[in-house]
Amino acid sequence: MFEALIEGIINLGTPHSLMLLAAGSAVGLLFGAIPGLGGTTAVALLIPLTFGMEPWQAIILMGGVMAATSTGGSVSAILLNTPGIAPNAATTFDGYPLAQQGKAGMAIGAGATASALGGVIGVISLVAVIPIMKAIVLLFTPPEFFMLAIFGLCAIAVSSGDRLLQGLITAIIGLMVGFVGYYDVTSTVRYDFGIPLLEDGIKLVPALIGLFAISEMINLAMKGGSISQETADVKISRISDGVKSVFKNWSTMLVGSGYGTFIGAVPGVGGTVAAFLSYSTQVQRDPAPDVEYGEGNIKGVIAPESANNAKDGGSLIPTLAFGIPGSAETAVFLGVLVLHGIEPGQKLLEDHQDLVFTLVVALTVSAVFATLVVLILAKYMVLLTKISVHMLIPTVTVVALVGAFALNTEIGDVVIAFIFAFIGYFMIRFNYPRVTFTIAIVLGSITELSFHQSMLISDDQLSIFYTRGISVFLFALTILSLAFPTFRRKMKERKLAKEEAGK
Amino acid sequence: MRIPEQRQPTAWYILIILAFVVLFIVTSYKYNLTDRMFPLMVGYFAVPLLLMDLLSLTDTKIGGQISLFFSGKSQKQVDEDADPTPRTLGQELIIFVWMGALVLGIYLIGFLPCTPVFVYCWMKYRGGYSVRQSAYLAIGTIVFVYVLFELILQYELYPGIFLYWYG
Repeated sequence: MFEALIEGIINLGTPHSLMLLAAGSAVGLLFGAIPGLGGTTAVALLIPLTFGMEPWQAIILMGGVMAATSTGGSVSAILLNTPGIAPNAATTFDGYPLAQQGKAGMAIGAGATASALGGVIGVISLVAVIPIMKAIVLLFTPPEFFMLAIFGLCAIAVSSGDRLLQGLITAIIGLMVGFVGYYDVTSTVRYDFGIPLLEDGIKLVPALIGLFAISEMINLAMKGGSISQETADVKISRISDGVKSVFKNWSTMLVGSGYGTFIGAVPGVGGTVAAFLSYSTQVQRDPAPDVEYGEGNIKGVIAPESANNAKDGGSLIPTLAFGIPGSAETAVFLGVLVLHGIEPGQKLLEDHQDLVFTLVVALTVSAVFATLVVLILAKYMVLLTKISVHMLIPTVTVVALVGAFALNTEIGDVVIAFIFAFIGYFMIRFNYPRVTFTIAIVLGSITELSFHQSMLISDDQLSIFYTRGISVFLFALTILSLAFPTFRRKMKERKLAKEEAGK
Repeated sequence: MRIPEQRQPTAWYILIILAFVVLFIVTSYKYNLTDRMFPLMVGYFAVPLLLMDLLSLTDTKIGGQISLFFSGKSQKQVDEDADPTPRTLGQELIIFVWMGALVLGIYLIGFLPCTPVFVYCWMKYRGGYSVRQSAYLAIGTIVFVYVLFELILQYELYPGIFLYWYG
């Protein structure tokens, strides 16, 4: 294993390899920062460029992209309240309020540092658990997947704070939207209302672009002014404050990285759930915060950012070990491996350990490189908050619509983005959480598929969800997460009552 | 069981969602048991939640209890915490027309002609910028879109239905 690590370092040590890594990281940062593009698109678009490369060179290029995407996405999430990619959505909760308070540099510094450390921890975990991962992932059967999805939705609804009821409602509506289109189990097209555009289901990327990017532009148009309410107070020195805050709140970063690695390793769940779970856990771990979550608490940036970068290492665990992609991005990466004649699985781990460790080193270096780039350029990036909304609205809207079109080159996707923009705007207008809605759309098909598979396994006995170890554990976590806000409120009330009685 | 005037737009919003859920449930019955089982469970779960949300808007005792249980706040506190941005239906309609015009323009004449026109018009007529500033941003945006998507990424941007019609 040590020899393979050395070989990985040597592979990356040549000027050509470093250039590939830098190019991959730059593309990852750019695609991560522009809402609607994302790492999956970047990896897919770069596939043709790898045709003439050696496998390890292709792996370096792709590693650079994958490790840098979410770091780039955090910049637009913080400055524009528009997550570059879906996993950055949780970063907007506190990152954007910080930007509005003139602390954009601090938020970017914290986000980038948490991203780098989370990425490195994820990669270390990848190396550490490869030998035992097969057994762990195989413990997850449909009931466990179902309960994990339900737990994810409930935990995210709870993280909506005082909008729990609205969070649950939007989660359910999101699940309904996820049911639209072709259903694999029965080969039926459902809820398409005869509209050809809906036959394949609601495409996630255009929907997300509409929900987050364009709806925010509509909302900005209603508000007017500039992104930052206190642009004059933005200070460059706050970047180092942000970096320091990550080390000061190291437990938040470690827990977030743990979530990212664990959730990332579960196929199909991905970085978005990891980031939101990490965020909601942080909110619950910190019942009396100095600054309320959602109003600019720096820990609200550290938790999701460490998780969504750590998930890169985690999601590669099932990809490399079993050929089961942990996310859409790793699914495309799997295509790159196959294209270069590399078959994931035991053979890869035994015969091509050098390639595995080349990827490990590339991910580590790219995570740090992307962070350094963001930290250096953040000085200029904070200037974005001074731009008038009337410059941002038309440009972001147009680029977002082009991004919606570009993935499948279908004009119908522009219409989807447009419709979801209005859904998103009304959710902002009436204070219904968009996040639970989004996660539910993502989890809709997985949840239903896992449910049906569980029913088949158990002969239609619902007891399957509460008679198996891991699913019971996840079921208990679901109940606890739903009960937690009430429990916390009762505790607060009791404490207040005691204090008043003491007076 | 009256809903105070300032909460009535929210009530309408909830009713629209409720209508969508009812449509979803009714549509579900068109499919066989396997296809509709899970969607129906989800749909029926939504109805009581929406009704509770609607009730929480009323100034009744049960409305207050629902609000307190789910949000930890009384409805009055929720009103106070609401986004203070003044929004009238007229203002919203104007923005919707702008965005709708952009999408219609893209559909009719494609991305490349529509992008600079939209950016220029928005800057000039909504932002109040000068002709020169508006033109600079319009040109900058179209150059960025063209270079990134057409040249670098090699996407063929949608040319508009007119171009399809005229070959």
